This record gives sequence, C-alpha cells and structure tokens, in this order.
Amino acid sequence: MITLTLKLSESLLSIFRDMGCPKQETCRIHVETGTSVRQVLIDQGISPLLVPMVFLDSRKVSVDMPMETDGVLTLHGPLAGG
Amino acid sequence: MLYGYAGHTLRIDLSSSTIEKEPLKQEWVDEYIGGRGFTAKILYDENPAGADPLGPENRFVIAMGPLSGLFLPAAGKTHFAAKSPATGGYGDSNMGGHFGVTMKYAGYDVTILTGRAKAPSYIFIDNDTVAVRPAGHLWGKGSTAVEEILKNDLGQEFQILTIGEAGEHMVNFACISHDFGRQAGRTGIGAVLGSKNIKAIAVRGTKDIPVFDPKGLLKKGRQTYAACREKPGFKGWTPEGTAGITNWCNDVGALPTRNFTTSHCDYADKINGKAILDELKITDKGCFSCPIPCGKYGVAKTALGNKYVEGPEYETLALVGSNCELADIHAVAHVNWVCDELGIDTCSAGAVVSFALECYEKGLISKEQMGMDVTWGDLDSIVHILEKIAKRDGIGNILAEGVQKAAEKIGGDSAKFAIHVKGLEWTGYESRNAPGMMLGYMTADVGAHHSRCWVLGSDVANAVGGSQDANVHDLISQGADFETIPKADHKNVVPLVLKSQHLRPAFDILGTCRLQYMEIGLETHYYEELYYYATGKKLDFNKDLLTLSEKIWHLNRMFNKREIPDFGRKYDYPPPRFYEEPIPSGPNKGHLVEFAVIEEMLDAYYAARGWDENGIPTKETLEKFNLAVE
Repeated sequence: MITLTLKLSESLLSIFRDMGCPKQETCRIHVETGTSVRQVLIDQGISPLLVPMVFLDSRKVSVDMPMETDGVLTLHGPLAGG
Repeated sequence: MLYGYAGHTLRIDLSSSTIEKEPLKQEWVDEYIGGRGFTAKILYDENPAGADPLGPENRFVIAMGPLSGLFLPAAGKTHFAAKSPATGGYGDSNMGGHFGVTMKYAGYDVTILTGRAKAPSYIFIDNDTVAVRPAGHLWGKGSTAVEEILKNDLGQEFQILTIGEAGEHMVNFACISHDFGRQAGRTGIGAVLGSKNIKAIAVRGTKDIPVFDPKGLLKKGRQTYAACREKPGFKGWTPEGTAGITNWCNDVGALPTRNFTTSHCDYADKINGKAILDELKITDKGCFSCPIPCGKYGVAKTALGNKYVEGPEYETLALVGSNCELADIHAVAHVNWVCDELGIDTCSAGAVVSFALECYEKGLISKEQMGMDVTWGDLDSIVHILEKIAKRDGIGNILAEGVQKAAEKIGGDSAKFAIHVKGLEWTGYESRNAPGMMLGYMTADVGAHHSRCWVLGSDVANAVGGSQDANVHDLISQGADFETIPKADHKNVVPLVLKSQHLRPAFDILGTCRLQYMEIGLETHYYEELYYYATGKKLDFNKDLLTLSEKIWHLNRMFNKREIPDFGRKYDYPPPRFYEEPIPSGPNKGHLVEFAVIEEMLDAYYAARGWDENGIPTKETLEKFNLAVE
C-alpha cells in the first residue's frame, strides 16, 4: 500500500459543487502499489474526463501512470483558455 | 478623498485636439465601482444613439478598477470598450500587462476618446502632460515594431498600446496590442482606435494611488499572495498556461476542427502545451503582480523565418490550429506572430480564415479572387489570407468584415457555416454536446465570446453523469473512457450559465485577473478585505458585486436594443451548423443541439433573467436594478 495526498484545484471543486456533490480540497488515501492514476480517480468518484492535468508532486503525469510511491497528486479541472 | 482610485477622468476630443482632465464622477464610483462597470455606464450614457462604430462620435473608453495597480495578486487588468464594429452593439475587451496600471499611476482611472485626429497620431501621456503627437512615421508598421520604436524614443519605462495594419484599415476584428504579446483582442476595439487615426498610446506614470489603509493593504496583500501559494492550483497553472487544456478539449470533443465541421482531431499532441514547452518556449511571462505567469514567450521557426512571439494561448491553438487544420506548433506560433504584428484577434482570425477555406473548397470563392490556390493546414495559405484581410485587399476586404457580413456578400450556403453570434466569431469550444456552453455563447452581450461564460466543465460532467442531479456514483459506474460521450442534458443549465455570467464581470469591475479565483480558488473574502483596505468601503462579494454584474448584463442588453435594429431573440441564435449538422466524428459523434432545445433554453434563460420572450429586459427588471433606460 502507498499513501497519496489528493489535492483538487478550484476549477474541479466548483464542478462538483455545482453538481451537488462537493468534495474536499485535500484528502489522504491509501491505494495498492501500482494502481494507475486513472483508477485512483475513478475510485474517488472523479471522472478522468474532468481532469485535464494531473501533477505528481511538481511533475505533470499521465492518467495511465502507475503509482509506485507515496506522493501528492494534484488534480486540475478544466478552465477556459486565453 | 477617493481612496483606491487615481481620481480623474481624461477626455480627449481628437477632432478639436481638446484635452480635459476632470474629477472621476462619484456617481460612477458609487454605482458601478470600476472597469467593466464604468465602461457599460459610460457607453450607454455618452455614446449618441445610432453612432457609427467607426465614426468620430463613437466613444473609445479605457477603464481600470479600484484594485488595479495595487499590491495584490494579478491586479493588472485594463478594460477597453466602444460600440463594436463587429456587432453594432456593446463591445469590450480586457487585457493584462502593465498599461492600465501605468495609466492609473499617471492619474487616470478612465480615459475617453472621441472625434478623429486629422492625421495619423499617437497619444503621449506623462503624468499631467498629455499631447496628441504625429505618428506618420509609425503608420503601416507592425504592433511590436511600433512598441519598440516608441520605447526607444520615449524611454523603456513608458507602457505602449498599439494597433497594427488591420486597425489602420478598420478590420472588424482588429485588436489592440501591448507588452510585446498581450492583446485586447475581441469585438474590433482596434478598428475603433484606427478609425480615430490613433496608432498608439504611450504612458508613463509615477504618482501614488491613495489607499484607505496602506499598512492594512500591504499586510493583506502579502497574506493573499501566501494564500495563493498554498492552493492546489498554484503550481500547475504556470507550466503550460492556457495551452494545458488542449488535449482535454480534444478528448471531450470540444476542439473546433475544420471550421467547426467537427470537434476532434488526431494531431492535438502536435499543437498542445507540451509542444510549446518542447519546441518554442524560452521563458514564462506574466502580467503586473501576477503570481502565476501563464504567458509563454518563445521562438517560432518555419520556412517563413524565425519569429519571437508570446503564445500561442489555447484559443489560438484551437482557432488557428485545429480549426484551420494547421498541425504544426511552429506554424501556429508563426500565424500568432503574424496576427500580433498585423493587429488581428487570433480568435476571429482563425474563424474567418477557416470560413474562407471552406468557401474556397466549396467554390464560393474562386482562385482568382483568392489570389492563390489555398488549402487547409497550409501556413502559406493562412498567412496569405490574413495579409489580404489586414490590407483589405480584394477578397480580404470582404473577409475583413467578419464571417457574418462576409457570408451575406459571398452567398451560397455560406451563412450556415459562418460560425458566430451577433456578428462576433465563436471561440475555441465546440458546443454541440455542451448546452450550457452553447447558451453562454448565444446570450453573451458582445457575441460569441468564452470569457463571458464558461461552463464546459459542468457540461462534460453533466454528459458523463447523465444529469446535473447525478450523484458521484454515476460517474464511477460510467467509467472514464467513452467511445461516444453521452448526450448532455440541457434541462438545468440556466442557473450555471447565469452564475458564470455574473461571476466573471466581478473581476473585470475590480481590475484583477479572474484566474486567481477560478483556478487557484482564492476565497471571496480576500477580495472583500482588499477592497476595504484600498477604498475604505465595505463590499459583499456575493451580494453587492454579483448584483452589479447582473445590472451590467441588463444595461448592455438595453444598449444592444437601442443600437441594433430589430434587436431581440433572433440575435441569440447559434449558427445553423450547430443545430442542423450532427458532429461527424470524434467522442461527440452524432450529437447536435436541436433547434427546439435552443428555443427551450432561451425561454428558460429569459424568464430567469426577467426579460420578455423576445429577450428584452422588462420594465419591472429595469426598475428593480434602478436602471432608467429605454
């Protein structure tokens, strides 16, 4: 098992608030080593289709990446361009 | 003492070369606070009804907010407004950088230009010294070139605002440029400046802005920066900036492709944020006091030469990239540079060029008219069309009017694929399976502009979850990947659209960037407290500020009613492509928004707004918001 700290950006939090199912900005979870980011999101009730960018600590990662060690997973929701 | 404001309005009548400095009107401050609030009020009150957008009577207004230029995150926004040559209605555009901040340091919260200079000119502002100077030597030159010339002539501390050749020729989607890559792009603001024979405005400001509690503001400003740094969104936004959502838009079937024929392409990886970092980027670039510099400054290398350029932003990647089928990041960045130099809004540029390419493909524009054989995805073709537009040369003179008016002249079935609302070209979010986003585009006061309302994320959640009421387990059960994304429900989108439409003006009013709130999640109490320390006045963000936002929506709707003949519901319809042609490919294949749904959404939206069935604010609504307008 590994421990992940999940952090959700405001653009993602606001979508869940608008849907009537608000989420915490930060939470700590335990998952099996090797679990993909995608599966982590699904297990947390977050469709990967709502998460354009995922950062592991300060590094942008793919949703297909397996999680091998403890870390901070920051999830960015979609946001309008400039 | 008026705290938080420079305290003055600068009025320049270019026809008579009259320059007046007057105290900032207390009525504007009390009722409209700043920025977009000021511009809405001033245009309604001072623009003569029926004024020609490109005539001397049209007001060109520059306005800052009470937080502009102060020590707090991203307080560098400037608001520009005029009656739009693109729509004939209310037009405005917002820009970052350092221009408005410096205008405030020079002593001016609001600047109003009227009339028309007798010869090409630029406006020189050095604190209290204001002059209209000859600009014959600048006319015909590119935006960046002019900025460099004026900085070298006047001093590097001057902040420069310029138009390009497109503004000089009053192209309906000409923009204003500043800071070697920042633009106030939309609604043809640059054409209005060009119509006044003004090539540039140069400003130096060295004065203080009086604030109610300087120590309190400094302390709260520091706390606000610290709060930004602690938020989950802080680190992630800077690396790729707005380009970071390119693949997402493609994945959810919202990336405009081939003049909005479809909403997905197979080369998004070649024109996304990573491509910018790998191929173009030299450095990050930020606006005044911004903690998350989202601009990317880099060099585009193509057969047409090496060009230094800021961007491309997501909108440019979408409209110039996939919408013109340009699948190379260097080529997209080169077109970005061309648009910046010519002074053309990249959003409308991509939409108009893709419209022209489809017209050409369908034989509605001939090779002789076009001047060469043009095709999708070809850099030379795109640059050729843009240069013809900027010079109003041949077919470029028709295209320079924007897709709506061009379609009227080109004929055939081109009106069906002229992608706009109210005459303003649609931006980077294909919305046939995004009913909230579609409604936001349809009902925007300035035409089809994403900055007025952005609810695409909620539309996707809606589609994935099945309805706005779906609980989180619906998302899980439907999994992550969809060969075809389910059809989004349109039933409950109005409250989300209204919420977004009211939230966004709040930051334009205060004079700050919205990203600190929307992406980083800076809480509203920070804005309330910063406003208090700056002005000495209490402000309830949700009550006072959002109510003012709503008031501005009603006021601008009445401006459009006054200025646009027979204005009403029919001006809110999207282009026929979106309700007649199902998306042919990608994750939203088969979807469209039925016309009956469009009518249903408009009915619900008008009712919620307090507008009649033709989309005009009722007498009761106007009275409720203390608007004595007709």
